[in-house]
Amino acid sequence: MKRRDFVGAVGALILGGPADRRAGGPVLRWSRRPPVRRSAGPTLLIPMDEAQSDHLKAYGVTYRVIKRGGSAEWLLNYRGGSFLVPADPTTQREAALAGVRMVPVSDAQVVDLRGAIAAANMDVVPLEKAPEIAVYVPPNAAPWDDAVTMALQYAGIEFARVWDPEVLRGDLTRYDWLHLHHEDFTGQYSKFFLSYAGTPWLADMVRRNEEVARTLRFSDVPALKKAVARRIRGYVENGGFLFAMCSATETLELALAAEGVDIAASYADGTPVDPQASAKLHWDRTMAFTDAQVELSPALASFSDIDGHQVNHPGKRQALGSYTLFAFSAKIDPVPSMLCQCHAEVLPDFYGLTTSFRRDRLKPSVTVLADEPGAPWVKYIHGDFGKGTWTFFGGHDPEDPQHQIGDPPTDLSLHPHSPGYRLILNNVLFPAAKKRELKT
Amino acid sequence: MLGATIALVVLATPLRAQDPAADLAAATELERQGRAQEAAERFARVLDASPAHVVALFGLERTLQASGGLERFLPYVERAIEEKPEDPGIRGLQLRALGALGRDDDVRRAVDRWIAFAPRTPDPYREWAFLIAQRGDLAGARDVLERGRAAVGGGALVPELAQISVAVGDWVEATRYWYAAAQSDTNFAPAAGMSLAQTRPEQQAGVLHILLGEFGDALARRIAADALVGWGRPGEGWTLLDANLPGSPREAEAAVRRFAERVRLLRSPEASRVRGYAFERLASLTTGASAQRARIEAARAFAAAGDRPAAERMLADIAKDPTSAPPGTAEAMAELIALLADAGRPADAERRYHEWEARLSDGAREDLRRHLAWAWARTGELDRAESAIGDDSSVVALAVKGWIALFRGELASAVELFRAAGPYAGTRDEATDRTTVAALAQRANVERAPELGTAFLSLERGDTAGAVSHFEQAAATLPADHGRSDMLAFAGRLALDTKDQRAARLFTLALASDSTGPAAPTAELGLAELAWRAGRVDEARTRLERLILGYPESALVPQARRLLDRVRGAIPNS
Repeated sequence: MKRRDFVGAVGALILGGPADRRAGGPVLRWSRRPPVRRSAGPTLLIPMDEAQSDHLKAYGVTYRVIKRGGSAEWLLNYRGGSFLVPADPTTQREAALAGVRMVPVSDAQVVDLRGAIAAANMDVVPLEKAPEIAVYVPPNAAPWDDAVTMALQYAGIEFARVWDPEVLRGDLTRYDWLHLHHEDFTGQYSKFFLSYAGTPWLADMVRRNEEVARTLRFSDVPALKKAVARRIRGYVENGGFLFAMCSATETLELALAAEGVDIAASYADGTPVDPQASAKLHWDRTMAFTDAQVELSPALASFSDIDGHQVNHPGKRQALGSYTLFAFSAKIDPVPSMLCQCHAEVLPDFYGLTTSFRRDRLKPSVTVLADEPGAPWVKYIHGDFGKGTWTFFGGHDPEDPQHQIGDPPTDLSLHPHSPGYRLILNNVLFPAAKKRELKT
Repeated sequence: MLGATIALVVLATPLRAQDPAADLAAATELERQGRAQEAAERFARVLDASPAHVVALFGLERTLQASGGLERFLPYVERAIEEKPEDPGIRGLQLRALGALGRDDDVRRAVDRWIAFAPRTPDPYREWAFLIAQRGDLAGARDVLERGRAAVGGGALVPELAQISVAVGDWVEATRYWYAAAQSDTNFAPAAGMSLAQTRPEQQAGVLHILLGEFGDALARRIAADALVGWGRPGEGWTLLDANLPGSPREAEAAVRRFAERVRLLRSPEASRVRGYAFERLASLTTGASAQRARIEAARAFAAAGDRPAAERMLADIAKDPTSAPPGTAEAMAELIALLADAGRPADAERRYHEWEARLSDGAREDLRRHLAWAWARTGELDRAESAIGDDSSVVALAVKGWIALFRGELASAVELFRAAGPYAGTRDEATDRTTVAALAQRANVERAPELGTAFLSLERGDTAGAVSHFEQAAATLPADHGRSDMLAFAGRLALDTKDQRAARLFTLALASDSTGPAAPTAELGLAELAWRAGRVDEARTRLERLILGYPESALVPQARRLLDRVRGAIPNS
């Protein structure tokens, strides 16, 4: 759904019109506008500016308010994207245990606050239903190997794990939100096959993937991953929220574009990459990228020229800089606004197998949420596809800029104010802000 | 002023003048000013007069590239080659320009012409490979180098092949190339070691296997020694190097000196000890003043590693007579005295201190007196400790005097001295220790408590078990709400940190003594840690939640939250 459609849908609902059918996008069931939580009792403000003592856990506290059936509001652009929640004993207890700073506010203060929001580039978004969350990871993945899993665990947000068998079985319909991290959907084991040959973790990865491919009757792992990629695209098309980081962003798109084209090295499927692969890719089947050139060398842990930084390509590797979040109009562009709520605007960059996305490889419909000014790449992008949306965030771990295999896991209790991790958690709460019809 | 003068000269110099030196100076200044096109004209004029003028050629390439006219450079470089066909620099420039213009076919033709002119030189292959590698085609660059190696023969292009292998991350192949390069010219051995020092951890075993197993000669072992230093394994590196030193004493000395300097970059007791070994070996390879300097360096390195006997051994001969000892000996001796004091040998340390006192700096003397005071205090000789510190009134000395008062059980004096010492005496940890102890002493609210003094002295001596007992005994003499629970909780914390079975009992007693006082959070946290270690997750969670919610202002709340995160599985358990 285009941002304008979203606003149109909301506007129509304010007026009582059937916006969902007209917009042709996600079916919104907003009951009123502004959807203000009535201050039936005392209220707590969770400030998300520098005054907050644990930004990441604040998302967990808010999520659990909704999960318990309570209502919360997201105050876009107000003090770093603060939350308003009921001052019930459970919430207060949870905040105290988590070390999340909350400020009791009176009804009069809430009225003042709403007045300030109405008069500025801010908005109030009600958070109505806690999304059901799934994270796509192999069964043996350590919880500390994926920034989103770490953020969810730290914030105390429940999630389920799914992998290829569950995706192909159709289990994604149970979830509102799906996360992908550093999976290689081209089926080439992140192209570590040669450089990490003989390491136990790689051998285990190869064995597990081949076993699943065999069990599910696929000719090879690349074929399996292409089928999984198609299912994920179908999930988004039918209204799902997809959030992907690191190499999952690039390889998912390459797998979708490579229908009928061999882009996998011979160690993955027994045949070499088609030398003309780049010219044969079907970019009409992808969500975000277009016209990329596939990396043909099996020895280079690089998939294509979508990534601007090419961390494992000695001749093309780019140094890390910083990226800047775009400031959107909260009232006109609520969706990108939600995804960009943060107490910092300029954030330090961090590497991943896919670190960034070249501007000239983006489809015109893509919304850029953050970029490195002056650089030919962007960091954080978002778009609509069918009835759903996708968000891609380059890099592996916002608090481990040079992440290497075997590095110790990031301990988020040492980074409770991480702005990069906040962006991840914005994505988790974002689906709570609107409702859709059941996905097929 | 000079810049302005040159600028005026540049501006005033008419273009028709034909003075290559003046043109070159003018061109350089114009380039510096960012006037690339004008600079290019001047460089071109120099080349009209001297077609193979290398400085002008490089200048012309730079300025034409900056002004977008690199195509114009090609005739100049052609003329230069006609004049000096044997100059690899000029031919390399041609390749670079053609490559920058994307004229790959012309690059190939230029390389062929160069090879035809000089078939036995590796230069054309090297330059061509470099061009290809710059574009990211490392496999292509390697192919070119291999072709060159086959055509030229010998050890040609092997170092370049090693570097390409490193760039593609193929450390096994890089090892083979580097060894071959060092075999053909031993000057490459240090470069080989430095390069292989960057090997990824998962490939280090493979590299070592090739060097020690496949090749296995002294050269390969010396390369391995260098690599091991880079991998943070200086002990193994030294073992290899020491057993495989070059036969020539001069080369052996250079190898050991280089190794010692590389190990200096590592900061660990092992690295310091290895450095000591290296300098000790150096002392045996050299004579006279050089050998003495090596012994002093070795002594300092051993002292830094905490290896007192080795440091003493190194200084044994040269420190016999302080008046004739070579420069640097006093500094090494100061480190040894500190080491002796810290090792619990205050009498030896004091004797040497008095022998060398006159040759030590004021700062070193003050520092050593504090070491001596601490050393005497630890032995329980508190009067000698006070005597050692003397009338030193620095904040560091006041802190030491505070500890001595504490060990005597004079709590009020100790608190007063700690307060006078302030927060900047010694390290941050030392200041924190003083604050903790002062707070405990104040909770006891008595002028003197000899049992507590004994407890702290036991702790200082490293007798934690004894200290726990003394603290428990001291607690029994104090009122329940004035120090007893604090001493019990403190004793419990000591017991917990040393896995002493009494920890749980002491924490429970502390809570029973005063369940709402300042020691209660310490006891709750301690009991939660014990429960967590024993796998009693629910109990740990309950205690931590009680601590966080019941004592929200306690300084232990962040620690409790962190442990609660760990208990909940929200952060890694490491």
